[in-house]
Amino acid sequence: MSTAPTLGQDKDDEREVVPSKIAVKLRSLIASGVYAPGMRLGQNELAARFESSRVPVREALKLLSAEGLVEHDPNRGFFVARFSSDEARQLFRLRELVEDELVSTIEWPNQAKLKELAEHNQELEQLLNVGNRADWWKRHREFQEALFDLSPNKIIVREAIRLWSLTDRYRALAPLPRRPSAERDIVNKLDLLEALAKKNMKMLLEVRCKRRKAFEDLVLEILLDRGL
Amino acid sequence: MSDGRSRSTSTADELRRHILRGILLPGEHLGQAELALRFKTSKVPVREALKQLHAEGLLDHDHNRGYFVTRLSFEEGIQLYRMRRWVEYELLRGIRWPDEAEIARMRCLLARLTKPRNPQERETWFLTLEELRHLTFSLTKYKVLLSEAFRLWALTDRYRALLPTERSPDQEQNLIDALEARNRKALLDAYMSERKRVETSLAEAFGAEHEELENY
Repeated sequence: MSTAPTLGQDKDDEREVVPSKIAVKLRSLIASGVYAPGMRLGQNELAARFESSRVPVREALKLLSAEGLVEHDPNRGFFVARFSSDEARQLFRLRELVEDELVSTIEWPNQAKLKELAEHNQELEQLLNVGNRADWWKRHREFQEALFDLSPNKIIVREAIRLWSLTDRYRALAPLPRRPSAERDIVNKLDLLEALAKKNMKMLLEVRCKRRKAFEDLVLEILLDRGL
Repeated sequence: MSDGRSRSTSTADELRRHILRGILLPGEHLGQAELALRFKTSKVPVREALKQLHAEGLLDHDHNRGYFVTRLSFEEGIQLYRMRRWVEYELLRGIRWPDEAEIARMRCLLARLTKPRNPQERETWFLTLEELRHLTFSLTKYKVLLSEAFRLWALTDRYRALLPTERSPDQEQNLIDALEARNRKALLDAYMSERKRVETSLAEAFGAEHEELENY
């Protein structure tokens, strides 16, 4: 990422790119399960790993704790947020409340936008085929953001993305579905794209509902198996 | 290092208070050097405090121009209040009924809700309402939903200052009556009618047309 020339701002801005970069890497490490739920995230170790000073590391941790991926204990430091079926249920209920309202206010995408979304989906499919979890995760998040962003209610969009990532971190529990399977159907976007192309709101809401339910069932099954 | 952290936390607290009380105005630019002078600290804790408040939604950030106090807009306010309504309604559907002691505590708070005549009484009014709200919603067992409600309360705080306080607390009374009678339908009805009043007041505060309210 290149640093844009800045007007009247001091050189601090150069360093401001770094926390967000660290946050992206940390998100993917948590997503892939390298940093498991409950694991302590020591600032010195992370600084060494990312070859940076502690200040941007702490800022990245604060960012992730605002997102709910990381928990902060004033005395003991930062931890990867733990999983619980009780939390998952409540988060899914919240998503349902916020997303249904949000999706019902979207503006239908034009042909160019539809094409862009379709290509985005093809890229996701390829990443799944080769089992590239880190990139798939990142691009999948971007797909959700693009979908929510069709709504003009940007404040609700912001909250919906936050809630979505809170449940999405539970994906780390499940293996990445490489072969065609029920698990893979859950992340398939074809019928969602079809609903958008047909401008069919009822179908769109049904697809979202079905996918969310399937993902919820998958997550709860794994959590209950593990006694969480 | 722990000193550095508490510095940035106390700077963030102080800045937040300045914003919520309107000492720093919507749209105001926050220079790091000026803030460091104002809070008698170095730029590092100031920058951390700014980031914290940015994450809380109280500040806007522009890569070239720095930080600004987020402007209040009807569009933002109404979206925040709508989300609050969805979450709070969901909480009220599932809360347990308060016992006698809890009802007595609520009635005691209700008695303190008299029309405020000066800024100090206005402050008491807000704090009392907050405590009442806290007491009511804490009857839930859904702690994740509750923490989302807390988050939204913090975000709507700035808008609340725009709403009229010159009213009798009959809405709050209806809610407590319903809680005491253990009547779920009356509780939800009282809540929805209170929300309707709040959202209408918000639209009036911004001079928005009622059709605009319908659009959201």
